Amino acid sequence: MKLTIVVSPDFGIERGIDWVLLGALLRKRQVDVNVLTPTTLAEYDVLLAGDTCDVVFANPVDALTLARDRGFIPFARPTRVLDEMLISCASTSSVRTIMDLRPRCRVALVADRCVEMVGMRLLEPANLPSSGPELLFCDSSAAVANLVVDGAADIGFFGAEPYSAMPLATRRSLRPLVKSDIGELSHMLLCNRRRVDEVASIQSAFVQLATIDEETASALRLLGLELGFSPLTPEAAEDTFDLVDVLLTPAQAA
Amino acid sequence: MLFANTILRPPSNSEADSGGVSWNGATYQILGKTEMNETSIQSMKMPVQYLSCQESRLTYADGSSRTVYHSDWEVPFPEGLLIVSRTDLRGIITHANDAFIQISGYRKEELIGASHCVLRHPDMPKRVFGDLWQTISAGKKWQGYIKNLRKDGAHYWVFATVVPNIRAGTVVGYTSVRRQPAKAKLEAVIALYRHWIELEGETE
Repeated sequence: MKLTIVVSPDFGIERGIDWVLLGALLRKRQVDVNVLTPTTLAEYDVLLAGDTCDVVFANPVDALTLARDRGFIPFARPTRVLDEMLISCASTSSVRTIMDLRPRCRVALVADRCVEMVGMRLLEPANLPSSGPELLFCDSSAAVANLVVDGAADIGFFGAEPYSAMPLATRRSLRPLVKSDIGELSHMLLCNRRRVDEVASIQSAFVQLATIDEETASALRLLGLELGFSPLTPEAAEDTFDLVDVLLTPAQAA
Repeated sequence: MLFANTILRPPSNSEADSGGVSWNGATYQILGKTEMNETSIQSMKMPVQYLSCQESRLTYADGSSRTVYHSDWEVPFPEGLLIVSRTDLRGIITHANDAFIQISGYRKEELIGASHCVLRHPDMPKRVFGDLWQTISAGKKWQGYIKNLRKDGAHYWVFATVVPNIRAGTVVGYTSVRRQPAKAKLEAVIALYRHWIELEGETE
């Protein structure tokens, strides 16, 4: 079995080499894997538009588009790894809660559609104007932190995992205002529909990874996927997509 | 002088699950109705807000009715949480996330299989739910502000979005996501709902 896997930059940007290692281990399982780890959202979108990929590791927002608009088939997700995010200001900021934010505040964030979606929903109680805050896109969580600490942005959106991986000194220069606790969103693996006949065997190869040997378990740990992947049923995936559909919708009722 | 419409009696072991009003994991029996002063309330060592609850009779669209006990006590929506639930086509709860359990005060096994009406607060106009059901039954998304009744009689405000779960072109159920509402908007919503309730009272 030969597979080209595309990993979303929000999960693979700093772990490219670890994904390559996982690919090498999959090859031991007779799965000839070519892992592509685009470093920008634009590069990722181009790869997906080209339809050369067989499997995509996507955040739930991108997975929704891939599944419902392009017919990709969700088949697995990381075991007990949830997509949460937090909003932080500088530790020296006068902002104590999101209610203190000024109407046209500046938000630094990486180009991660899931983090952006959840962050915008968490800002809604602040009743910011419909024009929304000014969004300042950065290449990395470290760059987001720098903008916030330097005062070029009022707050930053961070994926919970990248935030916790930042150096302690950086985190000490920030003050979390609110952290999401959704407990229902996670990345997922999706298969291109032209490989629909092989979904079961592809799913099996990924789900069995965590139990193969210590070398594979170690590779998964490096990726932050200690418990590997669990099977994802079509119904469970659709439930996630309905939730994402709701979260993509700003509050509009009077 | 505090006025308590309903007096609650702490449970005995044999009565723990025999109905009544729940607080802090225990079920209190409704003893009667009278006026109480602050001293007598404190002597019962129960929170004032649970003693000074009111009794209301709710009638639902299907003709069924239920007596609920509610206080003025508002539980703030915890920041960062999202309440997620799913129901079947009749509004029977099939999924409740941890936030739903935490905020509603019900146990998971009490929510699963119950009608979503269990959260209905008497301060909510019927027309809001009429509009909700009309919208989602047509396969469309609905949004609005809702005052929900907790199991213990307290309440919490949410901004709710309900979407139909469409599988193979057929609506098989509904997903409801409730998030923290903007306080600045609630004032107008409360006034509007109060007006609608009055209008409904006049037409009944």
